[in-house]
Amino acid sequence: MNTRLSVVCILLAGLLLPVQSVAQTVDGAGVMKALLGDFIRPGYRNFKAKSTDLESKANELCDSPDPERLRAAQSAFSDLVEAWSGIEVIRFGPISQFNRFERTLFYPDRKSTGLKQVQRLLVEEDPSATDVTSLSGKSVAVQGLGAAEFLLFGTGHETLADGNLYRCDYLLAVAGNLRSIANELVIEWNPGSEAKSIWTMPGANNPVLKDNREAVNEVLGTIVHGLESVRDIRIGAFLRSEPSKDKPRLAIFRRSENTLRSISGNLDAIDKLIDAAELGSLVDAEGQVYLKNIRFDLQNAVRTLRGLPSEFTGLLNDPVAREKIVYVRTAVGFAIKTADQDFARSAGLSSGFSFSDGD
Amino acid sequence: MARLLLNRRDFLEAAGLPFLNMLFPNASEAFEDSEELFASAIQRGKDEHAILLFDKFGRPLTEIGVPARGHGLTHHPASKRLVLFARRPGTFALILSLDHTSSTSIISAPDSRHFYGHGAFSPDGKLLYASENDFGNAKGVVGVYDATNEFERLGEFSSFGIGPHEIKLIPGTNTLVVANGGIETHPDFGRAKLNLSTMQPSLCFVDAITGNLLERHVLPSGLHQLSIRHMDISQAGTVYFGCQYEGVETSMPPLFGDVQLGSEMRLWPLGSEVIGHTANYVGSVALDKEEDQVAFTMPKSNRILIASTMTKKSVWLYQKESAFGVAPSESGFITTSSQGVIDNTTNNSAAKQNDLRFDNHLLRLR
Repeated sequence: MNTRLSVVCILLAGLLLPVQSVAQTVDGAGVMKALLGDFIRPGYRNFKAKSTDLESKANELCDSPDPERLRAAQSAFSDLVEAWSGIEVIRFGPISQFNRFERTLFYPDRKSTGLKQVQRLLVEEDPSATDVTSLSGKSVAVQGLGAAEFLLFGTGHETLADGNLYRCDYLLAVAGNLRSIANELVIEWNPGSEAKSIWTMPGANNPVLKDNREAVNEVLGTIVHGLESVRDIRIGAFLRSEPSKDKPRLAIFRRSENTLRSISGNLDAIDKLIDAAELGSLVDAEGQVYLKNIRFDLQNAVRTLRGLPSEFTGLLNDPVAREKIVYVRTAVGFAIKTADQDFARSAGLSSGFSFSDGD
Repeated sequence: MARLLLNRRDFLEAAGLPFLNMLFPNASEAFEDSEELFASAIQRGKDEHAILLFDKFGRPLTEIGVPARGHGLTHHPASKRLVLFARRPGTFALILSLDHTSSTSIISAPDSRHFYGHGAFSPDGKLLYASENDFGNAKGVVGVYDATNEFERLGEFSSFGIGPHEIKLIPGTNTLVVANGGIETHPDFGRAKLNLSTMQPSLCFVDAITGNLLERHVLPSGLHQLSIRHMDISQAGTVYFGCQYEGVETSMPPLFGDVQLGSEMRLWPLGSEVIGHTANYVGSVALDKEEDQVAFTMPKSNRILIASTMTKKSVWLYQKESAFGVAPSESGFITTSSQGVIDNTTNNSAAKQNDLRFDNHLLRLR
């Protein structure tokens, strides 16, 4: 019999197996606190600032419509996309409540549900979509970044510069809704908040994080799932097995040419998150090499994406550019494996995150 | 002896080998004589996947490589057929005939479908049902395969929900129970969950002969993000199920319940001393041999709950690192973990397989 298959039978006094874990002895609370202070709070503050700016630019556009103010609003939208991409990886805490994540970004929209609903609102000029409160109660697909992008860049967007009142009022409500969500996120992560207690103070009575290891697990899970999302949902949406099967029209923020800005922003954010959470403090020298490898892959991927033309339309027809995106997908895949298996193991989390999601 | 198959090419070439030729040396006797025999999908190293058969002592009898990660298994004792389904969005199913005469075979889901990792045989063993995703139309279906004719796909019927996961027949009947998890996925987007804000799980009783819906049980609207995924069914037809919650992490929804055809679904009002230790995730469910107790594994919180089928209350909640699979043993349960540990509550013994991770589900063959 192969030695790998040898079985060690152990009679146990009880059923509890001793768990030797590096992460149980480390300061998981410290990791979460560092993440909150150096990544989450600044990220949401930036998101709030950029959404406030979009609302302000939309106000100016609606008050005095002209092409220049339309361009300013479009530019503010692109900055908001970048800000969101920088904090989007956080899927726990207040963002997971009240459908805040989906209300901010409804994607992927495989059946163009959002597009159809937004177009219907524009045709019917439904007044309830022009008020922040009533808009926030509508479908998640008509009140976030996707809706704002269509209003500012989609078919008929130029009418905003000609005084299309309904479209502009709807845009203003969407911007106000995003600012409102961002404001809630900032407030709910403030010192003294319930979210801060739950996510930075693991313990037996904590409803989510029972110990230090679960805190570390949450951070590593955020990284792995964030990377999987970029590879499978953002890049995978448009990049298929061969060029003839590519679907560029499914790319996120393609109307505003923010596709690559968004994806590189997501990857850059994960690199920054690793730094902010001080994950290197959890592991030995070998673990730090894994961490270095992950960041190397991410930084190269970001550099590659930022070296491509920002115009996504037609980009996949350029074999060299397409090959670079294929490389990015591969690099992200390497980073996932290293984080999910090698680094997780060195941090005392033996099974890996993807594996622990049994199904 | 090393694993028999390591990659897709070898996997395909091995189709047709008699199962008994695949047993490890000196394992034939143990295979024939063992009172208790178990099977599970496993992973070795980073990328090697297989099905492992082992006895009640945790001794491996054979290990057969498969091309990708496997998930759930089903077995027909009379025809001695064992099927391992690929984990979603996989498309293969490995069929082993656990006797001297038949050979192994492999089936694939049709182009526009993928497996969800679970299936069940009809009582006479002539049909195999598989939970599948009609991803183009975002609909759940049950694929029907002819076990008497090389598992040719005969057709399909609706699962009456999105994301059918575990399916089982009520013992001795043609009533199929389908746990529709409610989560839309599409292979173009990996394993991403596409409809969390609008998901609608259900548990359906379906006539497996006609494909007609007999009953559909849904959750209260406030629990629409409670994905019903795994279950076991008593001889009398009571379905014990476990859920995975996709809503806010701080919520403590009821994750455990039972239902019978013709009765209302019941969610068990277990207190925070149980629900607070679940991480809102049940990985698998199994009844013990006497059907007095039902076990739920919770790999994300490293816990196993043993509950009374009579009182629907917790009997024992205990820690088990990365608890994944569970199946009835002689007088208790046998569990597996993603750390390669096999625990047997019958004799308080444990066995450890090095460099091996058991997947979610453990099946007792005899």
